[in-house]
Amino acid sequence: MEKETFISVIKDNQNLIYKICYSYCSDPENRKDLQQEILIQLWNSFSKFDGRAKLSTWIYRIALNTAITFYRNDCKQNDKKVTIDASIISLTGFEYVPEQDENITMLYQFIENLNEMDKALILLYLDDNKYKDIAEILGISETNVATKINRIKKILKEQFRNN
Amino acid sequence: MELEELKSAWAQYDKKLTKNLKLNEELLRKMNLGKSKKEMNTPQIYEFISFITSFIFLLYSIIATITHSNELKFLIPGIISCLMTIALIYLSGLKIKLLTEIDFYFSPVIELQRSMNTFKQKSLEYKKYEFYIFPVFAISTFPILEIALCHFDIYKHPTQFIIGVILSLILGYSLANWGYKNLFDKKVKNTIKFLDELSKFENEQI
Repeated sequence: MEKETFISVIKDNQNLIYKICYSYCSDPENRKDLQQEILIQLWNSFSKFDGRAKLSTWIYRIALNTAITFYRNDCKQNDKKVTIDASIISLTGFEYVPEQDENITMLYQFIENLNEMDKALILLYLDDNKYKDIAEILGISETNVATKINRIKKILKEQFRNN
Repeated sequence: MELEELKSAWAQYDKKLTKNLKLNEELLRKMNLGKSKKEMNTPQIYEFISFITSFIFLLYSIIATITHSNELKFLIPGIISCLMTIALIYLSGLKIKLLTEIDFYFSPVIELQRSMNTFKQKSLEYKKYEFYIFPVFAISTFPILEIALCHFDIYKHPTQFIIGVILSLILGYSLANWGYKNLFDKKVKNTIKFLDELSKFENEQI
């Protein structure tokens, strides 16, 4: 029963997981591993989730933390860690990349060049999270979120102008 | 293009994803998630095993040292060996303490990254002590273990013992220096750099 609920939660939030994986891992094979790792971490903590935080806050925290750790350890070193056979838990839909418009492609390129923490911040912002929620997920103040968003906006504007 | 416009393009993209992404529920259902929990606990398990093994070894060393305490040639290395083992247990205990303080599942991103990377930095630094302790540990432990386990008195073969000590010191410290520099030094620097980035990220103000 718990597994069924978990599957339903994952189904409702698969977009979020997909976007985080795509932003932190450019290599498709590593991306598969990251997806697995995120699912495992979510499952490990699923029974402990007590509803004190919002469900989306919990998913973002775990997915982003896993992605940052994975990015620092595995993606950069190209050294696989997940030992489970990828075919067992590969999510077929996740392999499909919808036709992306030019802006999204450029946006992903821009995100790729950001550091680990700025990647997390811009993803949360683009997903239309409120500053308060972004602050809660990342563990910084709302003022700090606003400052960073402004800084990233300037860099982004400059980059899009140059392109 | 403004970030607000991109945000709207991103929302459109999200809708496309909703249409096209498909979760393979059957595979996810079959996935042995419970088993994979074990994979994630490796550092904790490793540290606990290390702690328990060192503790058992300490008890054995104490008993062996007390048994041969009437001979100074065994008493002194025995005491040194016990002290070194206590140092290793202490380092292991510090690592376990750091690990138990980490809330892997419900901490905000910055807090968890800081805790994990502090643990990593400390672990790597403790490795350095372990590397440097090891040659002296081996030299001091050898006589007491040999007499306790095999009733073999290494001091009756002074040439072998002196060669062993010299080789242990030269090779041990050369390897410790080389190993730490090549295996851990870069990782420590990267970890410190990332911790510094986290601190800057956390404190950035207008």
